Amino acid sequence: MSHEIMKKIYLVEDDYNLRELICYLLTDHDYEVEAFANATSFKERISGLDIDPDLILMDIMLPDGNGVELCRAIKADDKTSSIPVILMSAHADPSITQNSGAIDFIAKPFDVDQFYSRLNKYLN
Amino acid sequence: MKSKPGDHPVTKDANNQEAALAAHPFEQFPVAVFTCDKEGKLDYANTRFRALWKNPPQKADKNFLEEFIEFNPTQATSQITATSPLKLSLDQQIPLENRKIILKTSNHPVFLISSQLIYEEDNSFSGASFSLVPLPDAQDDGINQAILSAIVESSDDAIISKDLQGYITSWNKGAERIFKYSEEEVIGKHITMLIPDTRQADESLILETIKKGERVDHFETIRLDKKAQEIPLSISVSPIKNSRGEIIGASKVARDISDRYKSEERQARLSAIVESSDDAIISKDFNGMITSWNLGACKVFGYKEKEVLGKHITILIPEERLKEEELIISKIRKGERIQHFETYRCTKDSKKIPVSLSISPIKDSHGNIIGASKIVRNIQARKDAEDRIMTYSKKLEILNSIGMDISQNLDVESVLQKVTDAATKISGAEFGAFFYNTENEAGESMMLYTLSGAPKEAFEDLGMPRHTEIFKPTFANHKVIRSADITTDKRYGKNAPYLGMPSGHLPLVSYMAVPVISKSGTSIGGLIFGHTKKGVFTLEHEITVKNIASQAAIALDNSRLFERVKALNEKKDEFIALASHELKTPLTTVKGYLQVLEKRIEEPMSKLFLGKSLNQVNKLNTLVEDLLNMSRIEAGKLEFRYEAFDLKDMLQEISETFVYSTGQHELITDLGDTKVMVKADAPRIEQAVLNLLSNAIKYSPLAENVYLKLAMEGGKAIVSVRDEGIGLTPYQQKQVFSRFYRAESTKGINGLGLGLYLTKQIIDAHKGELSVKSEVGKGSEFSFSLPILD
Repeated sequence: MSHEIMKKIYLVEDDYNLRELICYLLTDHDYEVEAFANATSFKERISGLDIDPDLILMDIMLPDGNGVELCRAIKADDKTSSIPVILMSAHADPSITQNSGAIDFIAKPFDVDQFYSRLNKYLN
Repeated sequence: MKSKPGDHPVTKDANNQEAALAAHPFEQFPVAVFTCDKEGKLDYANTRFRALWKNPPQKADKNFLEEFIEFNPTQATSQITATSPLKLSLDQQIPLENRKIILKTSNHPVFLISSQLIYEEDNSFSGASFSLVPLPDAQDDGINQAILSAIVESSDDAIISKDLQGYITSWNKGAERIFKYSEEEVIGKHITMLIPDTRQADESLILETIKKGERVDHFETIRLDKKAQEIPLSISVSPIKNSRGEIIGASKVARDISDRYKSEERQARLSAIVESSDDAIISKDFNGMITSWNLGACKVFGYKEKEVLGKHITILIPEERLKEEELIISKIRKGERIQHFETYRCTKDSKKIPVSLSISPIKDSHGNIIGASKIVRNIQARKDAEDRIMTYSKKLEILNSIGMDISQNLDVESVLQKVTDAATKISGAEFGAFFYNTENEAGESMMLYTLSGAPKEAFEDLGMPRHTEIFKPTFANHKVIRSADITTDKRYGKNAPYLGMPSGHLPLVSYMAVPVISKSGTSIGGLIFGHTKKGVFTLEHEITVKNIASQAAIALDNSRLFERVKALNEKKDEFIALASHELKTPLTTVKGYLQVLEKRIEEPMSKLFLGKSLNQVNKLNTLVEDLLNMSRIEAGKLEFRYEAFDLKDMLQEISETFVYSTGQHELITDLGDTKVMVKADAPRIEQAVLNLLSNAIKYSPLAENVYLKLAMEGGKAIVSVRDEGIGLTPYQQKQVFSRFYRAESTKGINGLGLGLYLTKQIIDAHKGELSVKSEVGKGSEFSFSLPILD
């Protein structure tokens, strides 16, 4: 698949193997990925200048933070509030994302086809 | 006896009457004198005699003696003879000496009359002179005598005379009636025949008295009648004297007092009852003045009789109840009684006592109401008993409610709060507290846990009590301390820095501390009660609170155990949640890579193997999901999102997409033609149906068909999944919805035993019902109902 301009996705996932899989899945579909292993590094990045993600894909349970709260912070900040956020969790209860401002929720483990279709829905 | 003419200053001068009269030597004589001729014609009457008459008899009145004088009527009047004795004495020429006569004047004066015969110079008898000496009133006159005789005879009283030896000399009709003896039977008999053996001494006493010339008045005794019946009598005995004043006997008037005796007896009995009564029996007149006051009244009110007689009844009535008296009086005036009216009255020492009043009008012999009699019962004891019963039943109620709470409630704090509240209430304390015996490094601290009757802030700034002289016995040595005034206790104020209660502490005088001791013998803590008044806590309180404390100890033991189990359980659920999360992360990676691989590999065998691997990954994920859901349900964290959907649609979709793990089974559906709208959590209902379907397949390894049916029954949607498998025993049917339950016969069939448990939780949450019908060897049918939308 090719895109005229590569869409850029920020991925926040603390599990190394899963982070690797998702990076593969995204780059395989010609998305540009910037991955973060924890909340701290992500927060640092997002608070800086020169941020240009088209979407943020974020795990909820992080060792040093909570994806739901991070999402709320993103949505509260004018600089980042327009960036769509998709939350992911192994707790297959989408209710935890209520009032977080997230655009969607992907339950782990996910079906790869469904994973792509969700992303496409918000990026094209 | 003939008198000689010279002895008498009597002359006769018939011819010169007027002059003679005036000159008559008897004319101014201080004694009434008259003379008669021998025929009885009045010859002369002196001034004194004439003064006795309103119309003095005329001279020469020849009937004078008969008409004007009645002769000595000592007996009955009937005994007056036709011929006047005066006439007789003239006829017979016998002088009279001190004979009693009565003049026929209006007032019947009695005189002693004496006469002297008058002789002419030739010694021929010519008449007589009579002198009348008045008899003093004290001596009975003839008519009274006669009346007396009549009275004696007609009297109801026995009138008896006897001589000094005691022999009966006269016996009237009354005596006959009372003693049943006739006159003939007793005259000449000894009086002792009438006297009972036990009272023979009476007689000699009476005789002694009589011999001294004294009377015996109203001497009440018993005598015997002819039939030896005892008769109560009132006897008056007077000496009988002869004319010389010598005592020659006794007259006795005996009155039968058996009637009076009876009524007196009744009266006596009544007054004995009144006197011996524990109730106050009081009478009052219409003005409310107390007219009688029994011993009971003394006991009840503390006033002596003499202190209250004539006082107003309101001295017994509390001020705020004075109106009652008006009401009572108005009822009494109407002749009504008041019965068992419960109120309060005042004693002498101004104490108010609860009483029950019964008040009746008192009527005189004409039936007029003249006052009221009042029976006042002190019902303090009854009231106390009632109060005690009340207190007991209240305590019982409290104890029961504690028991209930303890058995229903395993939450330590709420159990302790209940116990503290109840014990505070029962002990009458102003405040109560439970202190946990929590030891710090120094090994000496108690923690205030619950408080009743005072805000927790009251203690907040004071720091926790330590093992002071006062507290240590309760918390360290399991001792009850009960003190009427803790500030006077010798252990009080011994410990620095406060040396007693710190300033700002609730003022505490009455003190009671009861240890709460665990089954293991360790001191859990103590219940401490306080009151600002002295001497509030009794032994009874101590016992009751000890009972509560021991119940509390059991409850605390249970609660602590439960809390520990609960904590473990929570840990376990936490662990499951964490574990399932941790399991899912690698599963996600595995599944992702397998799917990537599946797309890249074209070689059929590899593609097949990859498919099988993916299948197992999905199964593994389902198991993990079940565990997670179960822990969510246990923790109460499973949430449902209800939405309206068509159940028939959903089942249709499931039946089309259901992936058979075996491939040998065919799903046969009977879903009807109409929509069945329900409001439910669709993914969870789907999960429930899938659980039932996979079970049906799993437990019917030899069967070919499983059946899915949707029906409407009693306004509910019924979904049933039926298999033709191994079936369940009745016991298994009961257990099958429990967590982790797997039938013994299912060994070799994999699963965690959570599917049906979760299904039941889901259906229960939808107010539906999950049930099973099954027969071993024939198969099972699981059905659930859901309420439908109208």
